[in-house]
Amino acid sequence: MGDLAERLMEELECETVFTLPIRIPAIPQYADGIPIYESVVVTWIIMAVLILVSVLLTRNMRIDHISKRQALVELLVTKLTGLVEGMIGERGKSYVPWLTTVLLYIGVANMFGLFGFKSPTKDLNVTIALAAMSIILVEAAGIYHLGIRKWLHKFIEPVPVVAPINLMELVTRLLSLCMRLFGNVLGAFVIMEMIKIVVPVILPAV
Amino acid sequence: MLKIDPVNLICTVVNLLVLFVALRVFLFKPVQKIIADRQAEADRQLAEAAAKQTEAETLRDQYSESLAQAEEEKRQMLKAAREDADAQYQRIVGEAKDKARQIEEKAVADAHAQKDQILKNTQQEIGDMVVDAVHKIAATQKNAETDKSLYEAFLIKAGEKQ
Repeated sequence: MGDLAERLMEELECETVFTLPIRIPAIPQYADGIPIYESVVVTWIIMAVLILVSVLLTRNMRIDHISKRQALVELLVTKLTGLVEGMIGERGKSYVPWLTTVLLYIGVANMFGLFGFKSPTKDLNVTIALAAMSIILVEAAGIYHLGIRKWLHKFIEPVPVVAPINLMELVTRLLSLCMRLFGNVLGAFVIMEMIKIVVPVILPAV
Repeated sequence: MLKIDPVNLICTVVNLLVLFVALRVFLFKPVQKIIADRQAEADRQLAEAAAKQTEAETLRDQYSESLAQAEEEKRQMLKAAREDADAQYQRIVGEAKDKARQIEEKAVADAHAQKDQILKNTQQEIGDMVVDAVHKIAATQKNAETDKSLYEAFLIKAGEKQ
């Protein structure tokens, strides 16, 4: 079992792919240049794949007599946006593209482990970034729709005494969101590793 | 990796924003545009079909109206012809009746005239015979038997004349 734990930790370790030659001696972390982690590079690959697939799929689109490729991309986009729209409702229609992007990114990132890459969502930095952006979006939407006065007023509801708890909720929600995604991916990863250990016992030939 | 690195965090944020913009430009916008275009095309075709239907309905109404008009015209013409024919019939029958009455009246008048003539002639002859008889009586002055034979002779003569 110690071996398993070691291997898991090794798998979880996000390697530094390269280091930017910018030295910032004031910050000890960046004293020897800024390290760029595997998660960021894999995200670049995911972005490239998604953009390339989008460009390829949306080429020569027509109104009628559509090709199978166009039917596929239309089905995908309408299903994904429909899914998000169903969750967020008619009023949040302007947030649908962003949420669909996040959905696509997380979906692809989680499945990217199958292709031999290290899933970026296994890096806490990525999940923190996602959670932070979601919280910022939610609060920005709150300010936009309620106005700053009403938005601030929400912190002292139902009684002003709960204001610190409401403020703390901002942080805890962020933590909860990022840890949830991180934990899900980590858990899935651990279970897959354990299945890999168990399978040879039952099916030795595999 | 449980180590938090601000630069990588910011890198991820930038990556996500870039991915969002790129997907918006290359995926969502084109697909939504094509769907909107298709919707517009479908709306246009539907509107066109509706307009055509309205036009067809107008034409149908016009046609049935003109049909009704023709029917009415036919009816009027038939009525007029019937009235005309009736008037002519009445006129002809009236004329015939008039003519018949005139003929009848003329016949009656002729008959009366003839009758009057005959009567006049008879009266004249009776008068002549009476005068003749009186002459004979006055010349003979015989008895009653003679009177009787004379009378019978007169009667026979009168019967022959009549």
